[in-house]
Amino acid sequence: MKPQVIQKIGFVATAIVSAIVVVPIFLVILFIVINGIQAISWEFLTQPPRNGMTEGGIMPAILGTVILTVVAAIFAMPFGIGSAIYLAEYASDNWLTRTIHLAIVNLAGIPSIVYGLFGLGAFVLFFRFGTSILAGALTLALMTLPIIISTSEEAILSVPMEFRVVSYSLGATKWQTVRNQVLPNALPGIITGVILGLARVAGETAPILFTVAAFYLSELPKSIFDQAMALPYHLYVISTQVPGMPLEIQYGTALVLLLFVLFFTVIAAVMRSIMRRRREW
Amino acid sequence: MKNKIEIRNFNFYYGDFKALDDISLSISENKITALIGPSGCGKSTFLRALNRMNETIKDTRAEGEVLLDGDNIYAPEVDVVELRQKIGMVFQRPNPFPQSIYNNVAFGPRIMGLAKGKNLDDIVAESLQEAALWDEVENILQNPAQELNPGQQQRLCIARAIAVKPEVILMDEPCSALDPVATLAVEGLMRRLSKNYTIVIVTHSMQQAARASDLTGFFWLGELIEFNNTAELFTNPSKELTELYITGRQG
Repeated sequence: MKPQVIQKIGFVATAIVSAIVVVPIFLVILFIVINGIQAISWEFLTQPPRNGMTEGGIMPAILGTVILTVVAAIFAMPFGIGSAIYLAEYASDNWLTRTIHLAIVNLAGIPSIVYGLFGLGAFVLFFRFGTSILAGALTLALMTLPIIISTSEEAILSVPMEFRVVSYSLGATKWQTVRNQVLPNALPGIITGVILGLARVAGETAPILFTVAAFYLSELPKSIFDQAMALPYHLYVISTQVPGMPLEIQYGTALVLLLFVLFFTVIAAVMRSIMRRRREW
Repeated sequence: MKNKIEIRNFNFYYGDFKALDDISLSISENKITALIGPSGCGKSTFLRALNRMNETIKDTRAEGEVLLDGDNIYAPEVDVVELRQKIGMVFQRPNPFPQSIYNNVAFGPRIMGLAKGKNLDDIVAESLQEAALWDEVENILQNPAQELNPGQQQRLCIARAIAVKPEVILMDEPCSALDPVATLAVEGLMRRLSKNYTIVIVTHSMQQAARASDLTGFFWLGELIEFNNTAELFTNPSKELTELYITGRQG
């Protein structure tokens, strides 16, 4: 066969393979959008559920997930970014550092139910936070850490050595160099990592199952020591636990959760393109 | 002629490899000292030994003394951060920070806490004037430094180095990425700067050393073969190896 023919076959084969992967994903999204869009209304987004959750909206669940994500970010960012700076700039290359790296990579692969059980044991029971927003957010924060640390570290290491050397040559200390030259250049990458980390956990059910999520609450949480409803768990509940649940509400809830995660991913993509445009070294 | 830096019996190692062997040499104040020699001869290593930049590379070791105004910069009590404020550096590739022209020059004074606001503006302006760049950038100080051409960028790097008011400026092949016109501009600038600063330049170009320096040292395989005033070294070298190298028959 001619090389050009083989090349054609290669193109066609890889195109078919990627279509097989991409088409079902689009179909799933399309299916959810078509079935869920009619449920979306101002009332659906701003009202609490009524009548055994078969009517009304999902506002408490949306609010709960937003609060959980924000509180998780507040805890995860300083620890994640701080660790990344330490690992990238200060830690010497020895067996301990390598072990830590290995542990971080492995943490990213741990099933989310394990995080949920750990959160139950550590935050709910041991620290006596009870089933609360605090315990749930800490569990989610823990789960985002591996993603935040590895993406931030990568962003920090991708800042050219040259800038550090110049900074030292001007009499800057290591910390001044990190603070003024390395971090500003790594920031878009770090923010992307944080957002992707949060997007990953915002839709998780298992970590919040034992630590925060409530089946139904007639009142909104008043502090971070209260329980809250959350979108992923609410979706699980109304899909499996409530008889006679209108399909429309189930798909509507799924659509809102999908859009919530999509929102994060779009922000991350925008940040990345800004970063690429700004990078001029 | 006062000696600004005196190097005595200096050795330098990368791991087990001895990159500099027993170097002794005096750098005169307010003169331009050029270091020449083939690639890998140790001239850049030597330059970086003068502000202890080699220490940013792992597994290196220095022996001997480097006296700046009589004080050994390798003495244990020396603060390397302070040392580098006294001995500035300009690198081979123009490497401004990916920031505005203003912030590039202001970085050093800012981290040293030298000045703020109006005073900082003055230091930036003075440094850019001294680096012969002010007239070209006066109205675009807030533009990204990357918009400048390579020659301008290198003068910006010189302005950035002199903004922290060093006493010595080390230049590591500062013109190797520049075209002939920009090269001549930097050489003219070096000449003017030598009134106020002591300059040490590493260069690949023997013409540049001959044109632009007062004293020249010739390095070969980690040793200083010959050190003399530039005119003497190029017209009447005392060592055969020097003559072979500068006439292009060995290198």
